[in-house]
Amino acid sequence: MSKITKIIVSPYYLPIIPKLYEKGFDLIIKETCYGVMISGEEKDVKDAVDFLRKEFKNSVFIKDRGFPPGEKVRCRADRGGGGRPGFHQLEYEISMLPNIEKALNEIYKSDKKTIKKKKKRIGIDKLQSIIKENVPL
Amino acid sequence: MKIFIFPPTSLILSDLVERFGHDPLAMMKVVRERVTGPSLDSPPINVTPNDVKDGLKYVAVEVPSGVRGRLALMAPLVEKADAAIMVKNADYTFGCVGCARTNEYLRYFVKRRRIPYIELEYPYTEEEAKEFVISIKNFLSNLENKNG
Repeated sequence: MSKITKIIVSPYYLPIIPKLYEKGFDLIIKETCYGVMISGEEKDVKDAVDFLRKEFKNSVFIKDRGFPPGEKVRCRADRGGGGRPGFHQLEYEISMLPNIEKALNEIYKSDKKTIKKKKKRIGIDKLQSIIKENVPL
Repeated sequence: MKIFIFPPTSLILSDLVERFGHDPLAMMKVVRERVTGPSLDSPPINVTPNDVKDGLKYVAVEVPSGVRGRLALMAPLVEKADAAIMVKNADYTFGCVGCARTNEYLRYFVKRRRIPYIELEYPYTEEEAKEFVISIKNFLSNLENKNG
């Protein structure tokens, strides 16, 4: 199994780290100024991602990260400050996340409504009563 | 299905593709293979001199080595892709996607491969965001329907 790293970003303050600790995932968790990084075995990371998507629904946005947390090539602490490579794009996209979240919420809401309409069936009792009322004996 | 996303490091596209049940072909996975795999490069670097030679598979030798090196990482993603989602006219051109020529080549490769693709623009308002997400969702669900 290989180790992978993911970046979790949210436009709001969310208790992502306490929830991850609470669940006891076997991961390296690092909080950064733009979100949270999680790193570990592929299966553990996938479980954590599924859990976070379930817990925070459309408020968290997750993407892969190539470098492990604290990697000297990327980490600002070792590079003498400044935004890390790739941060500007992330910052740019973070400004759009509230709108994307709202769009996702609306889409899922309308999806649920259409599914409910399709699956709605009447019970046997109600069907019997309709037959009794409408079909003359 | 494997979906090539452009910009290849995009958080929004990567998340949306994964959320709608597909596999995003993103730059980060390629970089991970380079920097975490066993290699002789010290420190682990994204683009090696060999990549610049590998880039000759995609473009001519007159093309700058920076473009060839980038294409050696990103063009194989287009080759693997079943479809592509591309955002055009992004205001920023920072980081590893900052090379305008590489971006042009990538768009060209997608069109030349004749895979299904959608071109969008980044949303700035709530309405635009809704259209953005809906068009991605519809594009991905249409792909599923076409392929059974």
